[in-house]
Amino acid sequence: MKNKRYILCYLFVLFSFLKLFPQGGNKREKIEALRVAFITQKLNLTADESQKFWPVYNEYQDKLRAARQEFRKQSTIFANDKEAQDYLDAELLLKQREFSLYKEYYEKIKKTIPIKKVAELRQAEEEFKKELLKQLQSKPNE
Amino acid sequence: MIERQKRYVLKKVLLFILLIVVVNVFSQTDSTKKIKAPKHYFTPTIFSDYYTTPQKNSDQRFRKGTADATIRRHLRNYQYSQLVGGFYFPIITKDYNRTDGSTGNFHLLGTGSYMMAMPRFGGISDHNLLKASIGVRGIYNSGKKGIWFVDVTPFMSTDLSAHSNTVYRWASTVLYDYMANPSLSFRFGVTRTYLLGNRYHLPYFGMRIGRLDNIYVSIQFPRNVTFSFPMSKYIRGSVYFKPMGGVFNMANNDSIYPKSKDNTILYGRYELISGFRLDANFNKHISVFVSTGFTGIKSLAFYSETENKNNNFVFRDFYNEKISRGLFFNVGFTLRIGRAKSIYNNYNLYETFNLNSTIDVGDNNTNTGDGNIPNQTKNKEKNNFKIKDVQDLIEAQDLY
Repeated sequence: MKNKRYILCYLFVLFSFLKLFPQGGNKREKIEALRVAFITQKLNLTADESQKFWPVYNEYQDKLRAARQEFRKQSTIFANDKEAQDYLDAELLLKQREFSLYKEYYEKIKKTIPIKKVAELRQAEEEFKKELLKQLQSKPNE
Repeated sequence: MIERQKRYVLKKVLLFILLIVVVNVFSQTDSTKKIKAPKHYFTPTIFSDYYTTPQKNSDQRFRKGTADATIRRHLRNYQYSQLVGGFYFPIITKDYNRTDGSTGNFHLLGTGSYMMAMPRFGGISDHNLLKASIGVRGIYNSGKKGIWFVDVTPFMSTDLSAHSNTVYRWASTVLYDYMANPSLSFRFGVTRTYLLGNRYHLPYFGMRIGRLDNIYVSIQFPRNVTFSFPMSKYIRGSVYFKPMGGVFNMANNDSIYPKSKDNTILYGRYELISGFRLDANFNKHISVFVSTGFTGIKSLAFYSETENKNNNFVFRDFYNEKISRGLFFNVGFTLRIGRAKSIYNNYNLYETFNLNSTIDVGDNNTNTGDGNIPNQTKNKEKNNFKIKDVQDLIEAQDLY
């Protein structure tokens, strides 16, 4: 009897947690996973290349994402000129960061995979972006 | 007296959790102040696990008139359940970008666990045996073939139901993982463990065939033998054998050990269980599992505290018996808090995560599962990759 009570209490706590956390993963995680699958398919990396490439590429993406998330904190409603100027400064800073990250990780990625595949990686990223935007455009308005 | 003891333990546990939260908040601060990307691969993780077996009678018959027969008659039937709670959190994570392009990393984790063992004997009073641990573990992933793992888990054990001594012990594992390729790995090392119902110093040997994000067979002596397979993107099934057990301080208020006036004895239990487990990984943050199966070999033992005082190796028991086989039920959840660095397709890190979950926090052989390793999608899906699968999920700003 006591045992059943324990199990019921335990299951109650467990399902409370499930309610607290959204199911099915968040949107970015899913898109990230799809992008990884897309790039894996396009680049056709060997086991050795894969072992070296993914840690560096993941790090690059984490930093890029963090920079963009920081920028998105900026308000897009400007009450005065100063706020508009701050927004433009933040945007400029983002562009600078993106470029310096690109430069830094371009050098690092070059050490992990052949230069031909580095070029293909850029193409694959652009292709993936285009595909996503195409889907966004074709999405009916609701 | 017992209430006061309980309150004291609870206070200490709460204080410790508070300390962990404070330390972790500060450890998340990015020193560069430039871009606040996640700093660690491991996120602070909390897990809990409840395990129970139904009431059983002893199969073993002792010769009439012996001390064993007297104790057996005294104990009557036996039932066991346990509740485990634990956590680990990253203290230090360091990446090493080498000139050859490989990336190694070092992870220092703080660990803690709380286990309430609840053996129930028909003939004696109820005992709630507490085992609580605080430890550290270090994992060095070379980024190539090798991973080093060191875990030290000091723990305390006491009986919360009656006055007993509190004892401090420690468990530890040191091993080397050689990952020949993503589908094959070997582990060698040594472990000091109480899992088998006594204190043992054992060699550790492990082998895995198959990729961690796909179907694999893993033999990890003395931890488990597992056949694991993805059932969908979020669900993983496994069939396994593993030992469950431990050694706990228990009040001798029922005079189980009549030879001396010890107020505390040691209770050791060991079960070899075989079962089926379903892990549901709802997202990166939460996983739950349910498991059921049979307990195969099942035994319990009592050890005298005074007789084993100067004994640093295997405890000598004064009572040992085998319990008949039965069913078991096991349920648990794992919560991962905060953001972590991405690990997509990084099989060295998958292996690192698997090492961390196989050698559980607290030496209880509960397994938090590998919820942070994404299940491999089928090749067919990859080839027929369609963005429309995610069209409802796209937010342009989330991407670029």
